[in-house]
Amino acid sequence: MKKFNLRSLIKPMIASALGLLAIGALLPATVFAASNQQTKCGASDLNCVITAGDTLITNRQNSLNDLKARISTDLSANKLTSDQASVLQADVATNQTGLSNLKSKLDAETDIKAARQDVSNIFLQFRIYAVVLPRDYRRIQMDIEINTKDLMQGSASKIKDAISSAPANEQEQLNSLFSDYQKQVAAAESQLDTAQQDFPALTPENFNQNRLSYESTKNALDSALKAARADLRQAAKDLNQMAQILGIKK
Amino acid sequence: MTWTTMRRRALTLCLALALFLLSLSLVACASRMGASNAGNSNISTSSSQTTPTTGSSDNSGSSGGSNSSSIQSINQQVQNAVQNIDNAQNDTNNADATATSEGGPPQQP
Repeated sequence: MKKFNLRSLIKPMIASALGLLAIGALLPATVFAASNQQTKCGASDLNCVITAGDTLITNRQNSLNDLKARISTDLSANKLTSDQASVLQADVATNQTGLSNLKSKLDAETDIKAARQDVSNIFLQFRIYAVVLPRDYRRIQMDIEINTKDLMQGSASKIKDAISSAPANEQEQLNSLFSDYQKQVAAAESQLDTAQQDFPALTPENFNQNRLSYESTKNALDSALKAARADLRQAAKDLNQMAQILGIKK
Repeated sequence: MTWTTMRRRALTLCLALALFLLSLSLVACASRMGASNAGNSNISTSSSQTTPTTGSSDNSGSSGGSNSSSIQSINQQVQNAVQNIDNAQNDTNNADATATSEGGPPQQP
């Protein structure tokens, strides 16, 4: 009788286990990828193309509804002014109407080529995910930064008054903090002025036709917003220190 | 125990291991898909727990004696406003995260 050798089984077992591990690691990725991809329609399957296009439009409408809700919430919370909110709501409305019209057109198509062009237009004409949402959420961010800067500037005279009535031995430190506060707020204002000029270039057209310039503008906008945010945060730190010093006195 | 029996047992063991790994990968797959579905509606998720502050301040007209408490109030508004900026930045980041799905040429069904 042939003697059983456990060693001879170890290699095939390890190989099998490794193979299965590889399959296990790959399987979720492929299933995940498939779940993100659209259905592949047959060359003449018009209904399939229309259904897939409708799904793409619905997803974008839902995301725009989320943006609309964010604007309303921020307006109610006085994070945005009504003018700022109006600009944003108008942009959402324009895109939602456009998508709605495109859906009507797509649903009425009888020619698959035209239907496929409509599906392409969901991307080419609107760029909701690539352009509109990133741009509009940046605008909300910029508006909130502007309002914070305005609040800080508007409070300067009050802070100055509070410093002037503080004890003499605290004046130097308070004045130094106040000086930096004003410097940071002014720097933020300058960055925000720059940021505002970048928005008009962030359009689907530029994204499609002038991608390098588009990305460059977006990067410049991000840098300005980031710098303004850092300036405002530093000014807020200065103010917090001033408030602590003045609070101790009380 | 004969060689054939042992071989059969080893093969059974391999098969059991294979089934185990397959079930593990299916579980991982399901959880990833669940996470991806949750992520689709995650564009605007900033928490807005902070007190509204930006836009206007009503810090004019208070008497000189209340300077210190006025500063405390301004300070609170400003700290909240800075927190609002951070929340808005999170929304921007979320929007950027979904932007990649549309970065290339139009996808055809």
